[in-house]
Amino acid sequence: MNEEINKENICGEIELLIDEQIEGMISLSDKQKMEIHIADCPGCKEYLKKTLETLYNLDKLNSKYGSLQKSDQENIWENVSDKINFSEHSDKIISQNENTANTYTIFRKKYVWISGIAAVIAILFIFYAVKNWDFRQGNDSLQYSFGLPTYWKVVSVKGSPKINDMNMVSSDSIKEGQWITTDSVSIAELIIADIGKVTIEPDSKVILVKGADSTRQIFVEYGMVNTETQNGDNRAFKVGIPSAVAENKGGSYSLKIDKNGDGMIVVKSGKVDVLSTNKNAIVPAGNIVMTKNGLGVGTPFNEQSSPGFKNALFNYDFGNCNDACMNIIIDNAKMTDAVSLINILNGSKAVNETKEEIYNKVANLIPPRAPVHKDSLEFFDEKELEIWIDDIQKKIETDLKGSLERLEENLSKYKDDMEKFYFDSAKFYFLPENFDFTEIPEVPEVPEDYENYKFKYSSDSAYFNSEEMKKEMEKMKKEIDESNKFNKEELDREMEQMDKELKELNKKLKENIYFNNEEFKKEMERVKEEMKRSVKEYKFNEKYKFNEDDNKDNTDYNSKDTENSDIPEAPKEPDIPPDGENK
Amino acid sequence: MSKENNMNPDKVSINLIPKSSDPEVKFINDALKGSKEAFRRIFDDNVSKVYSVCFRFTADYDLAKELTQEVFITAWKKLTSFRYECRFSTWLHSIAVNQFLMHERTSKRIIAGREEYSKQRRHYVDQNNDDLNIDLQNAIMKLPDQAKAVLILHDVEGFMHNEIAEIMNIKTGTSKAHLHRARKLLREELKK
Repeated sequence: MNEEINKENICGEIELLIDEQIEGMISLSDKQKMEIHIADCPGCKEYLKKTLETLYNLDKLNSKYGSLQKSDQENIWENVSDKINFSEHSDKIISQNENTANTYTIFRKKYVWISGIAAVIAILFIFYAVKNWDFRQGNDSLQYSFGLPTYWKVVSVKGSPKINDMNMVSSDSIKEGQWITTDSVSIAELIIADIGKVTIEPDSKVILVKGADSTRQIFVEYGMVNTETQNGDNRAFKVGIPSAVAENKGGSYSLKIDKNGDGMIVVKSGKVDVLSTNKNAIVPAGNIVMTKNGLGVGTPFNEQSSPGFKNALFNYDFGNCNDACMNIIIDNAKMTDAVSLINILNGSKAVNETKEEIYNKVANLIPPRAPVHKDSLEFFDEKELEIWIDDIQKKIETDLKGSLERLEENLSKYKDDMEKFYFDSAKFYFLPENFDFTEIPEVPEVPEDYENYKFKYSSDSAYFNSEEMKKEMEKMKKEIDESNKFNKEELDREMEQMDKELKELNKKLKENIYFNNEEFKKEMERVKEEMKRSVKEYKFNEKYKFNEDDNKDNTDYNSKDTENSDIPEAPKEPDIPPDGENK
Repeated sequence: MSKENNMNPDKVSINLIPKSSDPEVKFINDALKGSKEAFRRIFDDNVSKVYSVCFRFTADYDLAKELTQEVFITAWKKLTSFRYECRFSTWLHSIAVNQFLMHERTSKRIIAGREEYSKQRRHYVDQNNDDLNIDLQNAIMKLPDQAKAVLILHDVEGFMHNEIAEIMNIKTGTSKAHLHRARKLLREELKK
């Protein structure tokens, strides 16, 4: 019973994989799983066959029916245009503009005196503002002005983001102390004057706060934000998170904070300084840094760093593993990990000997512009470190660019090969090897108009876009070759075997016939012998009987017959061994 | 982003509309300004596709025409809410699907429509002598509404699951499940 339920579950899963295969969106492992199962499961094989048939028929159906006549089209248009007021939308816009214009006219005509009062208020306002203006705040956003609450623009991009838990309008504003929240489908965009924008992703909460230096910054309580800023007038944009502040002067990065306040910053372009109580991290593009609520910021690492390296780094930053982890970090560090090493050099956790070791390791990869003596490592200037990081970044980018160009060349070559190969062998691609095409009379070959056919296998599909294509192709060729080779060898072996068997059969047959002949001859001779004896016996008996009846005393003992005749012996049993002995 | 745009909320929202050289974008903008010709172009470009999907849903020529008409009237009414977040044709299909589902829920013409379909069926048989297609179309008509809509959009109209999810306001996984169920029911129906 349980086995049946399991089988049903597996078949259900495989049917979904077949659907995905037909969709062209199956992973390699799922494809193998599907093919192995189909090979042994007639039900799933039938499902695949029937689905293909249905799709083929649906495709034919689509091309046959459902077209619209020109006259019908005209009729529909007439009905539609009769029911539409084409000036409806433009009228609304004009009406809105007129309302606004009328308001201003009334204002001008009837309440002119209000302008006078407004002017006086404005003058007082300017006077107050200039008096209270703190010129040291020049680095703040331009939206902060005259000591009054500053409003930042917020745009609702998707769904219904909220400001202070109230639905916002499509274009709204937010001031210090207020917060924006988004639900699972909402997205909002916070515009920072002349600097850039912050996209607030779903399930996030962002608060506009006043920083320690009186500048406004945002605080991400939880969720995810993407910041894009320009390096206009060298002003830093700050984003507070639990236990750290991210600061950058142009570039873009994503920042994600979970409900525990732990976070991750992924820098896409530019450079981000993450300041915390434990240390500061310099995070250039292509690097990631973790933060832990209550502990501070970790050491940044490259996207391509090995899992072992990342693990050691995480334990070094947030665990109790110092020397052991540091050894793993230094041993496993590659060119792309140089930024991590420099950040460790910048921190206060590592001891001098370790710093020296790290310095030597990085200097071997890319030397700093000015060599530093080991005694001065503790006093390494942060600016010099940043320059060193910039040099490393340039080197990594150059290497990466070269690799990408080579990769693109190879990919384009494989793409051409794959497309050719793919269309040549499309049917073998999505069906198991032992699938019998003759069972589907409706779909004997890939149709000539395969471009219009339902199963489109374009090279831009998610499945055919990487190294996997090449591997898959090579694997398939190998399998086909092996299969051909195997089949030939097997056939030869079978032929030889059959030949041997035939020979043996012939031999047995001959032996059997020969044996039978010998037996037959012996039997015949034995029968002949018996017959002779019987005849003799008969003759003797006849003779003896005659003499006895006619003249018993005249018995001619000298007669010819009696000379050689003996009393016949009883016939012998045939000389055939008993059955038991044979066996 | 310019300072001027930041100061004007309306302009900020306008920035969401792509400055595209795509003639469709121009037609939509012109239609919003009151151009009948522009909306006619939109109509001409899309009417066949919309009608085709409506016919697949209903298997009824007249009802399909009626639904097509409603789709374009609704599209006009909602044109200001089109945010260029998807293709215009996808947006029109979502209106068509909603029109169909609303029709199926509210109209009592379903049974009548199916009876009418059986009349039309005879007409097809006479014209095309293609029993398989008739059986197939008949089997499609017996599918549950949601499953039918997904099957038609995916297997007949060629939409991908993510597009169907947008059109029908469902999750991609739900779309896949509907399709799987629809294909199964279709096969069972065709076996009879």
